Amino acid sequence: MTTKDHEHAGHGMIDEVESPAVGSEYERERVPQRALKGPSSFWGMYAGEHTAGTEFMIGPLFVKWGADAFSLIVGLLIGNLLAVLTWRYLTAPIACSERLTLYYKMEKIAGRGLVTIYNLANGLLFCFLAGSMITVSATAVGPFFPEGTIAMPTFSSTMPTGPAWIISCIVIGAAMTFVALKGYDVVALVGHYAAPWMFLIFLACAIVTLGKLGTTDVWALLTPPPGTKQSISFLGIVLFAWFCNAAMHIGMADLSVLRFAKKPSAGWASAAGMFLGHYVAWICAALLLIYWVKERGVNPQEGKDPGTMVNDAVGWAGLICVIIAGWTTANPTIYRAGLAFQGVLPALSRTGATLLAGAVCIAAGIFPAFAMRLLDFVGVYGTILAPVGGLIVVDHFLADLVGIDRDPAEKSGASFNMAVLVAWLVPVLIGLSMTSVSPVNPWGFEVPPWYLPLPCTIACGILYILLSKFAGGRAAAAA
Amino acid sequence: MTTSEKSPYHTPAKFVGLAALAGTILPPVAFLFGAMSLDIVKGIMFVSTILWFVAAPWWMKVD
Repeated sequence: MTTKDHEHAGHGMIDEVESPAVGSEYERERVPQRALKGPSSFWGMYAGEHTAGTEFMIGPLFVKWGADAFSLIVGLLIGNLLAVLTWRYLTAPIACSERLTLYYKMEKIAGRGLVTIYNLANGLLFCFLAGSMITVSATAVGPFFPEGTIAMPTFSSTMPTGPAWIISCIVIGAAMTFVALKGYDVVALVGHYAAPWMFLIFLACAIVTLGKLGTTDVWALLTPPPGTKQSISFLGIVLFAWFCNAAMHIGMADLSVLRFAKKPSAGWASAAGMFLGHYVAWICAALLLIYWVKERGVNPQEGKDPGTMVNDAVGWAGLICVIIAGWTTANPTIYRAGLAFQGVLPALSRTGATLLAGAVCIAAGIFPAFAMRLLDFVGVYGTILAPVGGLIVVDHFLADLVGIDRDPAEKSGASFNMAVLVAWLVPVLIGLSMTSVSPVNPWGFEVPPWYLPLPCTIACGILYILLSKFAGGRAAAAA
Repeated sequence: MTTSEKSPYHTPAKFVGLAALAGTILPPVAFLFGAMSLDIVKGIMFVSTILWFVAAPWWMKVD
């Protein structure tokens, strides 16, 4: 899992910010030819972005859910391959053709007012994501103190574990927010430098774990004991790997990054993030918990916090990795959430908006529920944000074919395209009502949230076509 | 990752950086084969981590 720190692939720095609230290079124009970058700029970026602190949670959560070896080794391979193909053959071609940020393209289709709503949803989800990263980073604080000083959360923890835990989260979250106030160039650079080392730390954790377990038979280790309840199927693993970054590929958030690519083939660079971060790192992290279950008698349903597991495996280097992996991804997330809030409340200063975002992130981080239910959360995140990709696919590939306007809000000068709002919200609300996170489920069955991004995106695209046609076809979609 | 062509520190930084990466991954391999104790592994990895963050800014450049 990752956030978009959107170090845009070019221009010497990492401060690309795609928000209507601020001005940055080419934010409201096509990226010019001279600013385009070759594929090498994207490989490092994707590798760094998708090796984040939350990877330490996702691997162990698969163990908790009783995922078998075939699902983990083959299912993750297939799911990540599908994600790479989506980036390569859907996101990158649109990005290289349009060469616009997601926000500006959305504004042309949906109108500026509706983009503000999208921004708010994005900002809040960013806060919860950054909160889970604060949670993960805070687990690395515990091993620096005598055992028991800070009660660490487990998979079943939803509430703060005590005053020491709360203080840890507040200190780490406040430090992240402070840096976000200063801008995140330095932290993004640290993330860039850390990427190859961080990947090796994940690998080192797994190798040491194999040494402790006295075997190199990874398949046997990943096979759950007989009688283990399998709460996630092979298909579930495939879909999770495919859609945990749904907002970025089918949701088209990466238009903002890949618009700088010379050719759509730059989309292959996502393979670096998927296969290093979401394949090798997840399996390495899973092995950490498997050791604690087999040798230390930890209940897999309760799990063990990442800080303790990593410290036990590789010591302080691992703790530094947990903190840096969480920090480098949470910090730009706080920054971007602040920008999103500023887009919604323009009267807020940048400082005020970032402080607000930081406070929400810290509050979310104090409650371990977000990190401990990370699989559900990223599914919800994708389900809410991915469908806007359906609108863009329709606008880019199908509008002329089905006889509706391209960029209707821009053509009509409207600030709020009702067809877009309805097409976006209806599938999302119906989809979420089928999940365990919904307070009300009228369907009599539950669907894991990560099954939903693709169907909701397709439904959103179809509804958008129908509503636009109903509203009068060409030049009438925007109200 | 691209290499800097101008910095005089580039070559030594590259050497240190590569050594640091080796110091991050080779000790765990040695532990796996029983050739090194875990305490030594952790010590070498910590020193390698510091060396990496010293060397990387001189070696790696953001485009």
